Amino acid sequence: MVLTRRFLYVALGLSAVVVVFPAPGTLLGCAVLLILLAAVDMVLAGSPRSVRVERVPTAEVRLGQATTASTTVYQAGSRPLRGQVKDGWQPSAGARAQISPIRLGPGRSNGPNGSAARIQTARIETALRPTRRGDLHSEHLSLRSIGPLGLAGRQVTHRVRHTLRVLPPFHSRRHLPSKLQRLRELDGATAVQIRGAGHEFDSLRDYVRGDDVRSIDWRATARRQSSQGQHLVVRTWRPERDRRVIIALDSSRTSAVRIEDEPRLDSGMEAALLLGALAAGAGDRVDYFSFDRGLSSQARSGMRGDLLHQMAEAMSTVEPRLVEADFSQLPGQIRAISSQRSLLVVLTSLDSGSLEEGLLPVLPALTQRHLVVLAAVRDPELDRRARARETAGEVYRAAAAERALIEKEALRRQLASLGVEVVEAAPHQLPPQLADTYIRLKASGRL
Amino acid sequence: MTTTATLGSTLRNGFQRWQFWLLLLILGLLSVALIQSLNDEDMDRFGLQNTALDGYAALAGVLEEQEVQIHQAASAEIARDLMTEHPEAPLVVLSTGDVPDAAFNEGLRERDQRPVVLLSEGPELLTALYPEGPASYAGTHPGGGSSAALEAGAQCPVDAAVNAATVQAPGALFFGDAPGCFIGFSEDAGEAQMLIETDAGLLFGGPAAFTNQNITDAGHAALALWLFGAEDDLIWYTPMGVDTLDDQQWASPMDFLPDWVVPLAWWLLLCVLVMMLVLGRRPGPVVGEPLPVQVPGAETAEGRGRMYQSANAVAPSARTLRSAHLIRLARLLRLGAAPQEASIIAAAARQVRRDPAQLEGLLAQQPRRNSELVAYAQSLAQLEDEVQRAALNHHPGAHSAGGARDGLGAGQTSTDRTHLNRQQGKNTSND
Repeated sequence: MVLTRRFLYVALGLSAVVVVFPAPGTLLGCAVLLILLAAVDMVLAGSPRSVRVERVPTAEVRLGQATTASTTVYQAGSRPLRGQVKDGWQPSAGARAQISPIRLGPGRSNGPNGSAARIQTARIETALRPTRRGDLHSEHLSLRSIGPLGLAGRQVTHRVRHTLRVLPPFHSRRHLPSKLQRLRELDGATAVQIRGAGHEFDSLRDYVRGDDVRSIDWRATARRQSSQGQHLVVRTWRPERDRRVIIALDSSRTSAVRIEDEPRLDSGMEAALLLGALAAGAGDRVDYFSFDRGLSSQARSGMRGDLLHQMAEAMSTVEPRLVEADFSQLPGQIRAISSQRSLLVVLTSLDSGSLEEGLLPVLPALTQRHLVVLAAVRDPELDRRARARETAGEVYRAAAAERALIEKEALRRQLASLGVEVVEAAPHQLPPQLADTYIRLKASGRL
Repeated sequence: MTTTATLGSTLRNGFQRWQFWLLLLILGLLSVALIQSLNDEDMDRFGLQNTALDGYAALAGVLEEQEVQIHQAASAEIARDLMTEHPEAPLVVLSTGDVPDAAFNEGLRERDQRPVVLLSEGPELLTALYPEGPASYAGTHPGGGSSAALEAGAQCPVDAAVNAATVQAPGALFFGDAPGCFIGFSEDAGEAQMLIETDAGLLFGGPAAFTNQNITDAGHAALALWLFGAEDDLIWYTPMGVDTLDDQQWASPMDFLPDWVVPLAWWLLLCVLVMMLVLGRRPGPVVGEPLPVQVPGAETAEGRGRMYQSANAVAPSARTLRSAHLIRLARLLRLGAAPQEASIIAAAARQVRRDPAQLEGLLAQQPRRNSELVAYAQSLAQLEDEVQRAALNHHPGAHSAGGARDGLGAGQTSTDRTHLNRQQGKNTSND
């Protein structure tokens, strides 16, 4: 049962009658009149139960993009239905107007050739601007049918689920063109070669100023003697292709830490997406998985479709879990993906507690077969605290921050001694710096 | 249908737009009404503060100038108290429809020597005092200008009336058992007087004579001064409705409310219930939001810092700061992986051109109090800044600004960085 504001206004209007005829009978009469009006209106309202609700599947969106969720309502009742519809999107879906008016004609067509069939369905559009990554839901659609007097009506909630998948925003995409350009330089596609760029022989070409003299091929030069003099010929190398890049994203308790304005997990996702896009662009095979106690999401290079999209989709539903990461399963996971030497990028945190007990014991097994890069988000807050030294309280906090930094430094040295490359940067700096590390490793032929 | 909808939405939009001003207007009207209702005392007919035509403000002003102090009584109780307080003061009982309670009337009938003036436009006061005579109500005198003036009359025993000579205000006429003053003719009863003497006091039927409008006409002013201005104090009692009740039996405020108030209150209560039903009905079930786990960063460092402070851990804090700065200095000065402390100090002293012994002394300080710790921490930070600046001057371009803190902290050796810088340089030249 639903009473409308108009019902309230009618009730307030009847107070004039009470003033003019001040008697208990008037009160009773007015009350009975109101109840009768509401009952009649409720009976005459179109049945909100006799409609069928169908959700139109939504396309995935990146976080920050706007979209529209559509729902079709089919009328099966014999009376026209007029009222409101509320789509029950969760708050983070950012629905701008959740309540929209609806007007449906009678379900059974009276006109010839079913001419009324046109008005039997109504499409409800809800504009959404999600504020969170993941699968966002609208669990139900509430239909409020108001009677012809507009005083009262009936309301029914149809539990039909609607889902919108929101992918990570991939803000670091803006770095992609410049990094791809750097890769092309490595690739011999451009005139300037970088020394030692790869071990695979690519081609011979004329020497241009700026080329490394060590790359001059004297035999080829000798063969190209001409009347005008010598043409120096250089060998070009191209970086290896079809290498494996495995990105492991830690989604355990340490990833729940919010640094600056985003959780560590999201910064890691940005870095993973940029690296994935870059490596795929360089012709490497990219595999991705996230883990805490077990595997929480994965995207394999062998899967069909765009890898970047698959990674984003796999990541979208990953949320930090308050459990300790199980690094011991990492070698097994990597063996399952590939037996050949790979670049293993572990996106985790430089947190001495979790790394010393979890990652360090399994590292030798990993570094033996693979090139391991550990990427972690650095907390700029620690640096700020370490610098603030005005009061005693600030100095104590600076000492605590310095201690955390020392521990991190010790851990980095320990990792470096095990042959692990460590990339640590502020949240927004991590994706480009990880990409740079990848390019550097590729350029030096270490993949 | 569309027109109605448009009109409705226009009205709704208009209401929303003007909502604030409408509310302000309503509030303004309500406050004006409230002020008005609080001020209505001054608007009373024959009120002593009423400056309107039917008020007595002029009379009160003149009496005040004559140094007559008027003590107003709003109830019989107060009037009795005032009479006890001022035994000689004349009493004025002004009836505008309500009469004093029986006890007060009894007191009036058996009064002592106190002069009493009873002012009444109608029969109520006389009827309350003497329901069965000897004096009685004779009707009204219409008044109406100097042609309808009433003469004091030859047999008039009251000096005040004789001095006033005439009155021309409308009012009541009475029959008395003794000769009265201001003789007029009522249509049905013949000759009667406007001012008569009773046991309870002088009863004057024309209080309208003393209003601001009429006080200057005929002999009104003289009559007023003779009646009220005789003594320094004057008790002015205006009976109210509540006076007619017993002292113990107070009237319920409901008795004075209009009939429709109670039913309306019940109806509005019902409306409130309706409003609760209307506004309380949700348009659908409550939607939950599964919130993700998030922990603020640097929480551990904050906790540890607080712990240091609460334990006054000066020495451990100093040690930590010292090691942190030594590690950073070693990196700034490129002294390799694990340099000796002495070599760091020596290199730093060379870099900033200071005495190594002085630097050693600075680093060896052992602060014992908070203030010493702050000074120590600041001097360490200053030393690092100096070394950094000197390093930048010696090798311009070798480091980007702040490289010691964040650039190198990002997992690259300085050579890596230079290498990358060169690559980037090539990029730009290509682009």
